[in-house]
Amino acid sequence: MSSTAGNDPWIVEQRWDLTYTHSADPITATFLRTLRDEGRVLGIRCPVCERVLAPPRPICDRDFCETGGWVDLGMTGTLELFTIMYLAIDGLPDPPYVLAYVRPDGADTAIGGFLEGVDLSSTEAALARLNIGAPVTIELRDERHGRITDLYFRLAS
Amino acid sequence: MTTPRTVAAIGVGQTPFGPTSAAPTYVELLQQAAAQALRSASLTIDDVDAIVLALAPESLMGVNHAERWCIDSIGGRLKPVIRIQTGGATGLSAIQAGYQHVASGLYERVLVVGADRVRESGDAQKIFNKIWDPFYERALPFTTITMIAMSAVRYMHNYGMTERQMARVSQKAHHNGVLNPNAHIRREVTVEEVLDSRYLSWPLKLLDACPQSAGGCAVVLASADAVDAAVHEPAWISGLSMAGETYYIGDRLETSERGYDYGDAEALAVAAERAYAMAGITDPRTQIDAVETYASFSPVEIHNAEALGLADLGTAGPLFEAGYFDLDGEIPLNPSGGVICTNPISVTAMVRFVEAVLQVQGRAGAHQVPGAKTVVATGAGGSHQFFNVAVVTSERPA
Repeated sequence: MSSTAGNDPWIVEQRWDLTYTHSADPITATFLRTLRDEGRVLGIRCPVCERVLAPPRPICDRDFCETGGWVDLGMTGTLELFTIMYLAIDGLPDPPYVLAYVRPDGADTAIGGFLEGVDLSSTEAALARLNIGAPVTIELRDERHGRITDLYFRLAS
Repeated sequence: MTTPRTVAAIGVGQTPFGPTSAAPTYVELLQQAAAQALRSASLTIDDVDAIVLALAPESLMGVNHAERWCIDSIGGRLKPVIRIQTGGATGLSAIQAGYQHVASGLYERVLVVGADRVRESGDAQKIFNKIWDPFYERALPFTTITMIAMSAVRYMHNYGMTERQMARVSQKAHHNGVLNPNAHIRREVTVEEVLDSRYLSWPLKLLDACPQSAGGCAVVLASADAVDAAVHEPAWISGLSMAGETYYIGDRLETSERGYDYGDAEALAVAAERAYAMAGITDPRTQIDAVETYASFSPVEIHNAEALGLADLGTAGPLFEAGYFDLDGEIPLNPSGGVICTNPISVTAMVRFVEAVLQVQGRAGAHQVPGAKTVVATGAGGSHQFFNVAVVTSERPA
């Protein structure tokens, strides 16, 4: 028998199918629970720099201290970042869609989310409406699951 | 603080980079790059005191805790071995670890080596979505593409960068890549072709983006005492630093004291200031001969030029258009073609360093910058979050 039975590539296909159970810290859990059950968006204050962090988290990245002091944020805000996603990626939503960071009124930082309600059939027309600094509203899904996607954004005008 | 010992690169190796094909395998790429670096230093693996493995998230190549599998291919048996991981910055972070091994006086010669096969999985962006925290951001389809797109949008808003300026960066990168035999993408593209390519995530287009590359890279670092003047042509590490950036992109929107926000690369500026101070660079525009900077998309190169002090904040776009950063311009940026032509993630930042070494040695071939004596290499990893800067010189630092 020949030991040189071809130099064709020897290919092995593998699939990772992993399950994780993540548990949230109490501050993150409070934010997500309040969003789901009461439809309110909370921020938290850093006692040192006094910035209101949204979404709220247990430590301030600047001051390396524990945060504390809940702040009710408004349901309006400012568009700080956006992109129109056109690339289809397996396991992610079908494009196109707008991803954005919005700074809720009363907060010093911005929350990521979908920006909906802009006609994306023409890039040019969509870009005429999408501007950094534009006022936006923070909207809630009717059915909420305690996930960040329970909220989304719309242009105010 | 004790003064660190002086450290040189005395050997480099890089395989040709290309698409992820059946061969060479991941471990073969490691071995080939390591062997080439040792050969170029006229050393064998026995001469190496310790090994640093550059390995970014291994979910791309598909073997978890892969330093186990790698160890034979990097000559690690019974030697000190560590693995370094800072995403796209990994390759230069690994150089930093190797530098610290030698500068501390613990070791005389260290092999720094890595490889990648980014398309071993066709799910790279699906994997990159998993770099976001499970509560606040994972449920959103953020990827490394959207994070750079949003930075570019912010920069456009702040300074009026145009898609044409971005396209000009890509045209330059592709032009340089043609001259580099190791580059993955080796074809000219015109500004119009870039502008006509399809949108990935506005304003980024297909031809503004890096490819997913396979290949290996390695460096032998040595103390000044271990440099053999008869054999080696050392390239010296005169400056080296890094800086991290906060996790949440939403926290990076207010204008900082330096005048930076998420449209810019503030942590890169901080790392550069520290590395320049160490290297005695006070005027980067006259003291730096060329730069190899980590820019996975064209607009990143524009704000990196500013963070590295090569242009005032908000002014680099027109300079790219005017040819200031071309191979025959004032300060050539990415003479190798850079990341837009080649992105084997684990070693992309190490390739920047190797290209800087080749430049100051005068061995860069068709993309050599004539007379280059001081060349800067940078890395970037995470969500535009881990930045490092190395200053490589032909002159031994004082």
